[in-house]
Parts: sequence; structure tokens; C-alpha cells
Amino acid sequence: MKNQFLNFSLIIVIASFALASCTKDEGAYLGVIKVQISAPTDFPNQSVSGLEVTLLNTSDNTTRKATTDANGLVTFNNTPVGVYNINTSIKLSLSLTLNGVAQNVALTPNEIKQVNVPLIGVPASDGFVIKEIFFAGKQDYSQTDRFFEIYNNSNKTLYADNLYFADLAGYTGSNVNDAVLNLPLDQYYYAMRVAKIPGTGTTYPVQAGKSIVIAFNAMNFKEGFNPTNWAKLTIEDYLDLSGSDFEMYAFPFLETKGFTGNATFDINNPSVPNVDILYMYNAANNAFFRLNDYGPGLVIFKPEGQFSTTDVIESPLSTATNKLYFLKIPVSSVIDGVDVLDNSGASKYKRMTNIVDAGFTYLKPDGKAFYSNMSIRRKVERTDGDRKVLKDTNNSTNDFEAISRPTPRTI
Amino acid sequence: MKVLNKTLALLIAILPSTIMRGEGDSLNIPKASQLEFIKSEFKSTYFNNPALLNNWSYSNYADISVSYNKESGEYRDLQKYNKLKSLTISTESVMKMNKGWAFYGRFGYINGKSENTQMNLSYNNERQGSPYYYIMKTPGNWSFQTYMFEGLFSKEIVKNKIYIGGSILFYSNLNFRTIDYRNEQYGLVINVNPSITYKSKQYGTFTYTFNYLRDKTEPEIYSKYQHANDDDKYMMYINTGLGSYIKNAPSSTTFLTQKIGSTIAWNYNWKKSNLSIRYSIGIQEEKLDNKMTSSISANSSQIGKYTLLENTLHINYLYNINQNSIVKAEMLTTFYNGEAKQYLPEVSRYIKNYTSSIIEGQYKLFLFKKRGLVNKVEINSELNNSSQFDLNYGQKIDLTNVKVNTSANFRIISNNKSELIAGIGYGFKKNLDLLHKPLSALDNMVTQSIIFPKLNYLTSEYNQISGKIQYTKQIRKKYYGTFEINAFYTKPFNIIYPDPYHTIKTSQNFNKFDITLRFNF
Repeated sequence: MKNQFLNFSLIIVIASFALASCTKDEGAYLGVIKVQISAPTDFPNQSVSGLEVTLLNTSDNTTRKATTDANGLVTFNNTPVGVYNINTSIKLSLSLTLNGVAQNVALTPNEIKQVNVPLIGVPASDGFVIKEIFFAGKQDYSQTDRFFEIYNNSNKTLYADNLYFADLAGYTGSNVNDAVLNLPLDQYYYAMRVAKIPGTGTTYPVQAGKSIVIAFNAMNFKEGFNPTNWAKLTIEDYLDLSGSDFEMYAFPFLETKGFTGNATFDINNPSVPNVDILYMYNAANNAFFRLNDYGPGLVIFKPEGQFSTTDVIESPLSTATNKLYFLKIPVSSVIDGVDVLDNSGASKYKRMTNIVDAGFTYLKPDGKAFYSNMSIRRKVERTDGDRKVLKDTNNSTNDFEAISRPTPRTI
Repeated sequence: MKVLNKTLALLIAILPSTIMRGEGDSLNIPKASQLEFIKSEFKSTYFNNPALLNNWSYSNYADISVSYNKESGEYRDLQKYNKLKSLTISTESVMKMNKGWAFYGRFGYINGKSENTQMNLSYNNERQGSPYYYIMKTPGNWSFQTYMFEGLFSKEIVKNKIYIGGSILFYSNLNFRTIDYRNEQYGLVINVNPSITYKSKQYGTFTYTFNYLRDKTEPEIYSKYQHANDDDKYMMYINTGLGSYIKNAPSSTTFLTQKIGSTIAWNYNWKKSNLSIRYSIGIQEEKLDNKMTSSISANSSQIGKYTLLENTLHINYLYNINQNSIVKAEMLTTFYNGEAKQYLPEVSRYIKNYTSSIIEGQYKLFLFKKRGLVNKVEINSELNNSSQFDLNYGQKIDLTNVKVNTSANFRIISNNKSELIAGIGYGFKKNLDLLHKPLSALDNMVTQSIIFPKLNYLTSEYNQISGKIQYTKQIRKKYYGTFEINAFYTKPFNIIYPDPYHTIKTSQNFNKFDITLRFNF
């Protein structure tokens, strides 16, 4: 019996491992992305060889770079399944850069993907540009310390009077359940909040290479208290925004609508002029004017004429219990824009077209930068005498960088 | 709270099987060393064949125990703790009654704390090759509670021929990450196994058991907001493969596993020996769903699913050399073949992205003596082969380890009133082979932060020594009290995998210590 048992056991063990060794070794799904760069119709003779093309895997944020051949073709072999952003650019002159961008390129298993990327060039504005946006805030201040900065990138004095700005509507991809707005962007962008700088035309001059800071609260946060528990804060790391040029104070606008503002978060500094608030999609008691917490789509623009009720549309995301309305901004009136989204894979939430911002930017490639104290700042391209010229290729992916703390009035 | 109520309700319904044991026959109360052997026989042969419990040939037993367990050391899988303390309270009983009834009942409760679990926001993240778990770089401390209830019954239907039975196993896990903001995870496992046994005098005993398992885990994970310069410590991800992961992870999900299977067993008794062979096959599916989707959501609720085929073969052979000595050989081999599919909303279907294949083998041989200096001599080996493959990245891992443990227990004192057992043990782990091809996932976060250090640990080779003291004393005529201490010390001696971060070093160690007070009657 003992021998029988031993024989039986031996057979079972051998059979077990024979079975295990039959496990099928399958092939990976690695695919190929072939990127064909083509010259723009305006510059048909533009060479497209030798261009560095960056492939960003928006799933894991790894990047690969390769150079186009003589025909403008670049091939990325052994590419994992995923969603990719493709980016290249070529500078033709000080004010003109050709951008080649393709976003949300999905590579499915074993696919050989051909992507045509035409170069597009729109001359930079040579005027006001958005220099920095600080929207993530610092937790101690519950984001009351937000601001953005507009820079005179030209070589002459400009006037900020009647310069409009808007925070565009749409989710940023910060939540996996975020819905896509799905509105046509060819003629209009859609704003949640709109305001303009007051003035008569020559009230607010901005010298070449200088900027204006527009703060949510023009306060010195170095001397502050935490608004939630009134504990005194450590001061070193915080901003002094008391010297801001303008403040986004919403009380006057809300009062014209029959509402009151939010006295906890929205504090008026009488010595700093307020911007004229023109539209708030969420005008209600306790509302305040702010930039999107997870990434503003910020545009500066100068419209022709006044806005009217016909410029207001209902959002496709409206529900029976939550009606949302946005203000239409003509694309042709936009001077500069920066599309800040939550993370590198959020391109489907883009709120502006390629002629204003061919790419998009973010604080962290994986997102979730709320309260991180990080800021988005435009890079410096060159120095012209004492004046710094900021990079403006109409592609925020290339023009902006995420920095660990805000730097108002600093380049 | 709902989980707790359910646990208590079931406990009240079935606890009599454990309490009633005290009223039964107590003439042959096993001492602790014998009880260990009897319990191992119950687990080997009867636990998975409930209807067979009527053939229970050992003495009935019941015990209540309290156990304190402490583990610590840096030689560990980074996704597991480097410190753990837990308290276990458990009561267990087998009772064969008149009128053809037999019962088994067990209730257990564990309460513990563990520290410094890294790259793991799901606590117990290893579920038979399943790739799904939450990742966060910030190390976490956890407090956890587990309620266990196991109940078996068997009833003779046709005298000495047909028996029916069944088991209900119920485990409730509550895990709370204590350093973060509202991170918690609740799990409930219910396992129901109806069973029938046919006994033939000539051909032995045949048992069929149908297996059903439902395991639902519901994490509520909320990453803490970062402070300035916090880098990406609080980013939250869901792992979906071997390099594949979701970076913008939903905070509220459901992991639902359902399994159906069948077990067939054959038992045969000879004059001096008996043989038990059990084979089971099961198919299970784990679904990972996003609980937070809404009608305007860009994504559907499906995230992924993992299907698994499980084959288990168990052989248990017992030979009575004489009245005093028993030799037992046991083999348990389990094969898991799984594949995960990710849901692609663009095409509204699941696409396979990951496969796994695991072989776990346990082979035990031991000699047990009821009297004399030697109590038990045991050699226990474990063979583990694990193969994982990510189709998206082409990343592949295949590794095989073998562990061997030998131990010997000696009776230092033995008389009618008391028994003192002292045991020593030595074990080692060897890596037999390793294949790791990252292919296109070399720079990937999962490869860099998890796979490199994990392979560093899994392929390292170690020595382990252990010791045991067990003192049993008869308290009254029908009761024994046992005090037991077990200690293990593990130290690596060979680091095979060239982890760039040098997570594992030969200077590290891991030690485990438990102390148990048991009362059996």
C-alpha cells in the first residue's frame, strides 16, 4: 500500500507541474505610432525634417522623443497601449512659432497608428500675455490668496483699461467622473465668470516688461489669520498681495442681482481698485468671484461692443434642478489664453482651440494639486536689454512651467 | 455597523455548536500537543467536505484561546507592514452527537494595528493574482478588525451510507488607515458549501461539495490634500496590471468577487492507515466598479474585472506505525490562472490587459508520537511559482521560490497532570528562478516604485530559526489550560535582484512572536 501511495503521489506531482508549464505565453499589445509632420499651407516650403517630436503617455506620464526624417516622419516602436499627446514646434521668427500638436491619441492593442500632425502658426500677440496664474492656493488660506498676472510682452507702454478677462466653463479632469462640455469652440468660448479692468483708456498704463497683478483678495497674507479657525499663521511662506493692482471683489456685482457676497472669503481692500465684474454663472448669496480651483481656462480679450442677454446660453450639462448658464466670448476677440487642466491626460476637457492655446498645461502630471501652493508661470524666452521677453508660441505646453510656489511680479 | 450586526446575528444562531461541547463526552480530553494534531486532521480532511464530518473518528474537542501576536522588522515586502500587533480571541469545537448529527463551529475576532505599509492603500492587496488595489506613496498605519465565523454540520440520512452536510463561512474585515483623512475599507466574505457523502464498505467514502463564495470589499478612500512642497505623496492610483494603472482613481469603488466551484473527495480507511484525496475546481470573477458615476459622467461604472480558474489537489495520508506513533504525509497543490480585463469606454467593452499564473505547493511529512521524548518531527516544504504579464506594456515577471522548514518538538515533562513541550526549528528560502522583462514599462511609476523593491524582497534568500514552548496543565478533571510561546527570527543571506534602490539588505531581519493562552475541554 505504501508503494502504491508513493507512486500515486509522484504521478500527481509530475502531472501538476506539466499542467502548469503549459501556460500560454502571449504576446504584448505593443503598438507603433507613426507621426507625419506636415508643413502649414501658409508655408508650404517649410522643412519638416530634423524636428524633435515628443510623445507623452498620459497614463503614466513617461515621455519619448524622436527626430523626424527627411519627409517629416517619425516612428515610435514598442509603444504601450494608452492615450498619448504629441507635441512639436519650430520657431520661424521672434513672433511666430509653428506648433504641431495632437492630443488624446488612443493606441489600441497591436495597432499601427498613423497620426498626421500639421504645423499651425499664429503670430504671437506682441502685447499683453498672461504671465502667471496662482489658483491652487495654500490650504491655510482656503485659496483666498489666489491671483493672476498680466504682463506687457511688447516693447512699448500699453494700457490695461477695459481689458477683459474670463474663466472659461468646463471641467478639468480632476475627477474621473468629470463630464465633457461638448460645445463647439470654433467661434465662441464659454465663460463662467467675466470681468474687466476699469479705466477711461489711459488710466492704467503698463510699461514694457512690467505687469499687473489681479488678486482675489489684495491682502498681506504674511500677517494673516486662518479664516476657518482664526489661528495666527506662520508668515514666511505666504504672499503679500496688498500691493496688487486690482482686486476681484464680488459684493457690488452680487448686490445688483439682489444677493449678498461672502464676507468670510471675499474681503475688500479699499486702497486697491476693484475690477468690474460683468458675469458670474453662480451668482447667489455667499458667492465670490474666483478662478477654477482645479485649473482655469483663462483668457484676456477685448470684445467689440457690449454683452447682451443673447450672449448667454444654457449649458449642455444643465439639469432640471441645477441650471447652468455661460457667457459666449468671441474667439476673434481673444488676445491671449491659457488652458490649465488637472493632469496630463485631461486634453478632452480643453476649453479653447489651437489658435489661442494649441496645448494645455497643468501643475502636476498626475493632477490633484489642490492646495499645493504651486503656480503656473510663463517661461522667459530671451532678454532684450533690461526687458525680459516671455515665451509666447500659443502653446501653453511649451510656454508654461509649474513652479513650487507663486512669484507675483517676479520673473 | 451593518456588518457588525450581521456578524452577531449569525454568531448567535450557530454558537450553540461550540457551547454545547462542554456537555458531551469528556473522558478523552486531548492535551494541547494532541489537539494540534487533531485540528490539523480536521482542516486536512473535513473542513472542505462538510458532509464527511459524521465520519469524525477523533475525540470531540472544544477550546477557547486568547493570542497576542507581535511582528516587526525591515525585512519585509514594502507593501506590507514593518510592525504589527494583534490580539485574537477564538473559540472552536468539533462535536459528534447522537442521532447522526455532527457539528463544527468556530468564532474568532482579531483586533490589530500595523505600521508603515507603503505604496498600498488597500491593506490586503494580494488576492490570488488579482491586480486591483489602491496605491498611494505615503506610508500608512492601519488598524484592522476581523470577525470570523465558521460553521459546519453533517447529518446521517441513510444509516452508514448517505450523509448530507454543509458549511457557512463568514469573514468580516474592517480596515482603517489611521494617518489619513477618512480612508477606510470594509469587506465581507460569505462562503456557502452544501455537501453530500456516500459511503461504500468496499470502495470507501465519496463526497461532493458545491462551493459558492461572495467577497465584497468597499473602499472609501480620500486622499489628503497636499501641503506646499509635498510632491506627489498623496496621489492616488488604482493598480490594474503590471505597469498599467489608473492615475485619476475614483475614491469610492466596489470590489465584488463571486466564485462557484465543486469539490470531490475520496476517503479510504485501511486497518492501520487512511487516505484522503480531494480535488476542487472553481471559477471566480472579481469586478471592480466605480461607485460614484452619475448620469453626466464621461465614464461608465465599470473599471475592470479579473477572472480566475482555480484547481486544487489535496492528498492526505496517515499511517499508524503502532499505538504510539503516526506518520502523516500531506500534499496540497493549487493552480491559479487568471486574466484581467480593463473596461474601455471608447469601445464599450472589456479588453484583456493582464494575465497571471500561480502554483502553490505545500508538502508536509511528519511523525507524531503520543508518548516519549519526541513529540513531533516535521518537514514542511512550500513551492511557489508566480508568473504575471502585462499586455499593455509587455512587462513580465516569472519567479519560483522554495521554502523548507524543519522542526522538532520534545516532551520535557509529561505526566497525567501536565506536559511541557519545547520545540526548535530551522528553515530557509531559496529562489529557484527569476525572469523580469520590463520592456516598455521600465520608466513606469509602478515598475520603479513597486516592482523593483518587491522583486528585491521576493527573490531574496533567507534563513529562519524558530522556537516553541508549550506548557499544558490539567486544571480540573475535564479541563486543560495551555500556555504557549512561539518565536521566529528571519534574516536574509542572499540578495539576488539588483534593485536600484537597495530596499532589502542582508543586515535587515524580521521577527515574529506570539503568546497564547488556551483552555480546552
